[in-house]
Amino acid sequence: MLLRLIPSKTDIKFIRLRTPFMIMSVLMMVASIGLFGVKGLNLGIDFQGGTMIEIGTDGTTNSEEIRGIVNSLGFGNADVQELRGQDVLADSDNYLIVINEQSGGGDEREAEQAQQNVVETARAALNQRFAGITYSESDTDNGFALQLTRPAGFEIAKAQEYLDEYEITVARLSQVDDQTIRVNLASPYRFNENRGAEVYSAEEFSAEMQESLNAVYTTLTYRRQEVVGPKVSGELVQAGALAVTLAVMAVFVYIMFRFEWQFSMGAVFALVHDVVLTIGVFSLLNIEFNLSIIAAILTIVGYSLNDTVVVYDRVRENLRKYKRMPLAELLDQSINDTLSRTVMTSVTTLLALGALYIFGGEVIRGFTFAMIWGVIVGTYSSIFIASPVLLIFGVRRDWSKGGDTAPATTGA
Amino acid sequence: MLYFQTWKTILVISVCLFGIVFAAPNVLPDNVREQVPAFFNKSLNLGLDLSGGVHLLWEVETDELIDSRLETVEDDVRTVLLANDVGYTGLRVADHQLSLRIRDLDELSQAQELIEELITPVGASALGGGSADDIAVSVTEAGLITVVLTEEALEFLVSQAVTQSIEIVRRRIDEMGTREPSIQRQGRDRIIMQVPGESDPQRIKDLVGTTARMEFRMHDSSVTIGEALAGRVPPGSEVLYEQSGQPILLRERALIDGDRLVNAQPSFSSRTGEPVVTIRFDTRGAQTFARITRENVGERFAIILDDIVLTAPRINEAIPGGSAEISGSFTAETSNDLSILLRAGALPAPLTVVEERVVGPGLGQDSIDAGKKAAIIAFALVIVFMIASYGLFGVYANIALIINVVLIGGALSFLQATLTLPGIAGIILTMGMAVDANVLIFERIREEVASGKTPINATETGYSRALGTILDANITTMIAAVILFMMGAGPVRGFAITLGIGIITSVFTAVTVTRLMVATYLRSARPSKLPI
Repeated sequence: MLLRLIPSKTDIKFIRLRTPFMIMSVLMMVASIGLFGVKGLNLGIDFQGGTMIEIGTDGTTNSEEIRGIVNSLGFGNADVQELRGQDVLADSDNYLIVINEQSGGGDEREAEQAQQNVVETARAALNQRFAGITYSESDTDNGFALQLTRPAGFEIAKAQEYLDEYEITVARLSQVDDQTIRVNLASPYRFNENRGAEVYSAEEFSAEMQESLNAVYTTLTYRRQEVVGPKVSGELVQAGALAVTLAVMAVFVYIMFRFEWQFSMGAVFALVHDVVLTIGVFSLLNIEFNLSIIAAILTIVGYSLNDTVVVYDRVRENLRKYKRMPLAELLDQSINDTLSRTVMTSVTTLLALGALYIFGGEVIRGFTFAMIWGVIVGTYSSIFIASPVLLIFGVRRDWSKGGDTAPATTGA
Repeated sequence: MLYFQTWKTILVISVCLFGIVFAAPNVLPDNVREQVPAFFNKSLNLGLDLSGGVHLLWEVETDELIDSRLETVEDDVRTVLLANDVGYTGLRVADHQLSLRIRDLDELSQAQELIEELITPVGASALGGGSADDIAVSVTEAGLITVVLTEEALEFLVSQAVTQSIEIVRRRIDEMGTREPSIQRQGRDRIIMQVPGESDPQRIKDLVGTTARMEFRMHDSSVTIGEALAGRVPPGSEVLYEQSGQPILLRERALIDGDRLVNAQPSFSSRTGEPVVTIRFDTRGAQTFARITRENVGERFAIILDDIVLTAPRINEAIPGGSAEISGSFTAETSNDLSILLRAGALPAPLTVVEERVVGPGLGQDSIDAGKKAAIIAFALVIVFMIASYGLFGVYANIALIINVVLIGGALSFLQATLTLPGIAGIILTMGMAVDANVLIFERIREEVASGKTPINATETGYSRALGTILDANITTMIAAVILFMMGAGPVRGFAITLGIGIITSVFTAVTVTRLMVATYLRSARPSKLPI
């Protein structure tokens, strides 16, 4: 038997529920605007200018220490946060073995030789028991680090046991958490003695930061670095706001052309609702708001409209079919007619987005989150905002003659 | 709706085949790809966020451009007024305007006429003049004359500077030997530069951010350097500094500048063995250089790069051959970089970095891996869900979905569009939404079946009724994609492209490819009840 999320015939009185939902939506919008006004958005450097540096660590560092080092450079206070690893579900496949430094009787050459020998022995010991280990090696302050990717059947306890058999003293044997630390500095200004003023010096900041962090930690990798000048960020804010406004206006015109102005009003109300709530949730959860979130919002605009237009198409069809049915009843019927499709599409889209959220990596997690949220509020708004708005403004009832711009093929 | 003419069937199938052909190079092993003709052999262009690399946005400093243009006008004004014996004071360039005061008010109108004769049309060339004046002259009754550049002249100046800069910057970057840098103009006064595979932006910034204006100037020994530093700088001279911080008093006028160079090569000094840069002048430059060195034996001259004195040797004898050696505490690398800069020529105006994004190679690969994994899982989830919900029709929808993804890959490869991480997100989102068109159709068919229609009739009506909705719904999303493309930059643009292509291919696959499959099924199986 085929899966049916929604029974083929539903008769839910959506319109009767409109008042409480409308009130709820208005309250949520007010709360969003309030949050935005009071708390603001966690603007990424795209929109406020500044420097963002992402550092990959092996899990031995901590963000408190890094914050201390970065803030001691005198460029202003950086926002240092730990990001979740690439993959929130799977275990990390990497292990780190740090072998104690060999003294070699004080002679540097001999010490190096002894170190090589012990590392070779350790490798041999592990290779004998586990097939298919790949290694990468590096010197660290407190010894020699051997990083390996997990072979089949690898367990920390067993590895420890084998290394013990060869009397290899291990300083650390642990699973490596892929950890990313993000350092955000809104505007790296520093007092410049030559010029006698605060000078914007993003370059100096990133150079000095890398230098001082490398002095403390040996296994850092610089994964990403972005510097956006104050001028560009201002333009990006403008371009972003303009893009969203243009999209909403274009949609208003398109729907007016295909339907009627009341439908345009309904669709635009729903869109504004979705955009405002998205901004609200970003403010509430303090998720970084950057350029790609604007892209997400525009996609939400597209998706939410998609949903609204499907319902409206059915409303128009039913307006032709049931010439005397009260509008409230007709709207209910239209929403129920399309409910099965609305839910199916939302679920498939959410399945795809869910996979992206969990497995797509931290770079686009904020972006995916905005989309997931947008699909949910977009679906909600096309039922509880876009349709009731038609009831408020009223629609022309006689679609059989004149003024109908829709071609004959439309319907569904 | 269910009857397909043969040519339509062939058309639909060939579009799918083309998609496969164009998408194929992305998955073929290298040795097979070598034998594929170039037209079909295009693979996806990875964006910087996936390949790793450096993205820099440069801005041409227009302030300097305006001032240096006005300084040329200043020279002309001085020449023309002197030639006609018109007395003036306070000729200077400040705040983007040239101003001077005419001593004798009776000569004011003559001076105005003389200066106005300097006006030339913007962008005038041998092929024909421009339409607007390049400078605007205004006069007050008190005898003050001000000259400013017109909007049109400024536009032309900036546009020309950007074009020249791109040319020069490209030469410099190419000599670095990095692979496939992309250098393009953005907006009015910006240059966008993407260098894939590079993870150290500093060298690029050093190489591109240097104006590299080289000048040869004479040393001014009329006062001591101590007196000059105390403020008694003779007119027409200025104090500049060597790299070591040593001040030196030099004449402001350049005797020769970098334009006269035909070649610059890194080499080693035959005397000291340290790295030097050997330069060679063109014929005119060589003549000038020979004359200067002949006339000034025993004097010092200075080679200056962007107002820093590289070296200030004493002229021991006339140098007639037109080549010279620049020494100045170079390393092998810095002498090589300076040679590149000198060969490529000077930038018309300084460039500054206004935006910088660097993606390390590790992160790029991680993002590709994560994107692949997410795409495969999303794909699997959608496929299972569709089969569970619509059975056989779900299988058709899934085949259409696979063709859809292949078509997106083919289209992106063929158009050589750039695939970015948000672009991968766009493809994954399209998977979810591509199914929407089929969901609309299938739900409609279910309704029609419920209202008692025969399978063929229900399918027929289902498709025709759903079509309008599908078009309306997708056109609205397309509007968002187009606006994103127009307004966005970089990765966002990549997202817009994949979203837009995805909308077109998903409508195509949903309304034609599945319809073709469903029609074939209905004709051959003639079911009495639809499996939906």
